[in-house]
Formats: sequence, C-alpha cells, structure tokens
Amino acid sequence: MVLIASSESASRRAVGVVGDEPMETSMACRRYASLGAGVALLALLASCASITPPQPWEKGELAKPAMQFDPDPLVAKGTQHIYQSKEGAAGGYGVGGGGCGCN
Amino acid sequence: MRALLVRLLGGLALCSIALDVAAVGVGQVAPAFTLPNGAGESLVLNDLRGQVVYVDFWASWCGPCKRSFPWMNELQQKYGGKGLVIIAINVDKKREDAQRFLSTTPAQFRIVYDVAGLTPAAFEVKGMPSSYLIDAQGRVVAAEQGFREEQKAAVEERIRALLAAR
Repeated sequence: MVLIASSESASRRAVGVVGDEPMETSMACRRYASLGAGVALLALLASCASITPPQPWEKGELAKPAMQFDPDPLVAKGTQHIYQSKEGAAGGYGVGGGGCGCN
Repeated sequence: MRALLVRLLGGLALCSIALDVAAVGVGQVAPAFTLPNGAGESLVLNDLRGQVVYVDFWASWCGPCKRSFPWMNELQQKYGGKGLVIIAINVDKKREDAQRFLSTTPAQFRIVYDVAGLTPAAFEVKGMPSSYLIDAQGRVVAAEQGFREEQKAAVEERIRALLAAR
C-alpha cells in the first residue's frame, strides 16, 4: 500500500493535477504497483516451498523438553491415548523416537 | 480385464518406489572423511584401510546413545587388539553438549566431531543413532538405524567374522 501511495503522489507531483490525464496516469501507476506487489507476494509464497524439514542429525533443538506439548511424559501419553481412542487421531505430537529425534 | 492388469502393475510400481533403501547401500565403499577429534588431531577414514571400522553417529540429545556407549566400550576392549576401530562421530551443534554427555557416559573409543553435518549427509543417515560396519577393504557391510538390545549379538557376530576374514 505504501508502494501505491508513493507512486500516486509521485505521478501527481510530476504531471500536476490538470484535467483527465494525471488521473489516468496515476491509475495506471496504481495498477502496476498493485501488480508488482502481487508478484512479490507470490514469489514469497513460492519460496516457502523450498523450506526443507530438518535432517535427522539436526533435530537437537526439537529433542529439548521445552519442545514437547506437555512437560510430563505420563500425562502426555494419557492425552495421546485419549485422542487416539476417541477421535482416531494419531501423531503430530513432536519429534519421533520418544522425543530424542531418533527418527 | 486389461484395466485391472494395468491397475495392478501401477500399484506394484508404486510399491517399488516406496521401498526404503536404508542409508548408504551395503556393499558400497564408505564415504571418505577427515574429522577432528577433541585434541585437535585429524582422523582420516582411509588411513584405517585394513582394519574393521565401526562408525557410529551420535549426539548428546540422543537417548539410545547413552545405552550404546557402554556396549561400544566393551567391543573396543574385546576386539581392539584384533583390529577393530570404533569411531563415534558427534553431530552436536555445541561442543559443550557433547562434552557434558561424555563426562557422564565416558568413551574408550575414538570420538570425532562434525558440526557441519557433511559426514552424516554423505552416509545418508536416516535416523539417530546410525551405525555403519566397514570391512577391511573399506566397504559398508552393515548399516543400522537406532540402537536396540536385540541387535547387539548379531553385530558382534559380524564383527568377529570380519576380523577373522581380514
């Protein structure tokens, strides 16, 4: 939006607000600016596809106790069991291999 | 009938893609590496050609490693004189973590450090810990993922066989 505002004011300053012409120019500028912003956003989203998951030997941070959803392993097991039996849900609780990142 | 056959073949093809080839293939030459130990010296894998090498990737945050170290100490003691060299490659980001681990779980075999993680990538490590048994000709004969009590006897048996054969 900053892009659009600056291009608009720039075109107004350059041409001077006289008749229809400056309006058309500023609208064209606005269109190009919004197009540019859209392309930039798409490029940013596309770059997210190149984010790779950590390798098995890089999972040191994930193995820390602070990275678990529940600090008490017994309570965590109980919660997981309840979700599994009532909802058929499984997984997604953090690093595999009992928290050591061994998978 | 033909459609069924096509679907069957397609399913089989998919199955073959899904089969997991664990790490560096057995029978392949082990990737060479040169890694520093705690005393500033470098360990070159190729210098150990002619000896049976057991490479183990470990980290301070890896639970099963705590159990595998005493067993590897035993192995090094028993077969070190017969030509077994155990190399444990540490992949911790911080040296202090590894040293803290070693202060509680001492090791009588060689420890080298790979912070960059290039060696586990070369060995195509799929999980931690991973161990590779390399024969006297530098070929990987066994690749294990994880550490389980059941595999200890089998690995020791293979080591004995390789030492006898070199």
